[in-house]
Amino acid sequence: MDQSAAAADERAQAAFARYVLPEIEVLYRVALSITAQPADAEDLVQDTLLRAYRAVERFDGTHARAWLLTILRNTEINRHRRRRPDLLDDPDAQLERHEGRGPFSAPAPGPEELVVEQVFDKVVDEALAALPVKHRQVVQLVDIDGLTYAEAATLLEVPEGTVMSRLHRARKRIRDRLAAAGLAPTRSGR
Amino acid sequence: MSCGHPHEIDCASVLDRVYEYIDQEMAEDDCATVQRHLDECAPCLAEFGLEQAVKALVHRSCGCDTAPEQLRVKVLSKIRQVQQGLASDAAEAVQSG
Repeated sequence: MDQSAAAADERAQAAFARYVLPEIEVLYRVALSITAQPADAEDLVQDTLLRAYRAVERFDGTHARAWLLTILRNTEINRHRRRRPDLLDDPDAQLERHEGRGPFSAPAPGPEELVVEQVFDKVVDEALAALPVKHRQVVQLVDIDGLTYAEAATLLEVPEGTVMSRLHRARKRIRDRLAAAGLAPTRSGR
Repeated sequence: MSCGHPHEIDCASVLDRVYEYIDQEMAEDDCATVQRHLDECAPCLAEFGLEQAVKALVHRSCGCDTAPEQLRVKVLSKIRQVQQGLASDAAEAVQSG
């Protein structure tokens, strides 16, 4: 390798270490939210990071996470182009119009907090599982993976308003579930 | 749902933006306005608290997935392979050119 190639290599490695490596944790969680399978998530992150490495010298250093999420999205589409006909469907149409209205009920009291927590977790898990996949994804990306609305919108290639409306519906569903289980009040005023 | 007192902005406007607030998506000025409202208005504060609690529950329910330790190692080793491939391509190009 001649000197200029070695210098380019060094620059790429430095940029990769600076911009890309700190995002591995977030990328993995996002990949897990998208693929739902740890093995697939790992593959997706590896493919994404390899692409990022090849492109890192052209990256301008701003908004690294958004840049990586775009690469991750494109990588995922390429990996599953044939297997993902649902990318274009409308998840909002799948949601039944269920408006939870009712009196406030007190959150479950009790000294055995551990048991209560387990019940909470179970209800939340079930509520998440019952959501249409695209609503679940948005909740996972924002609440679990810690993405901003803009980052989630970049990843899903939808407007930020769509992220917000899916998030709104999904959280309402989760709250309704908690309320139905007697664990949280429903909102009465909206 | 209101405490019945007059506010700088009304309760409905504040509650409409509860998610932007708890997701830290609100501009600083708006955020301060909402904070002032919450300081004055117990029902809205309770509502925001609930939404915050639901968000925290969701986060806790599956927020413990972390990247496998080996992932970083695997990625770095693949990148080394790519580098070596590029280096040998360059060497061949020099030899043939």
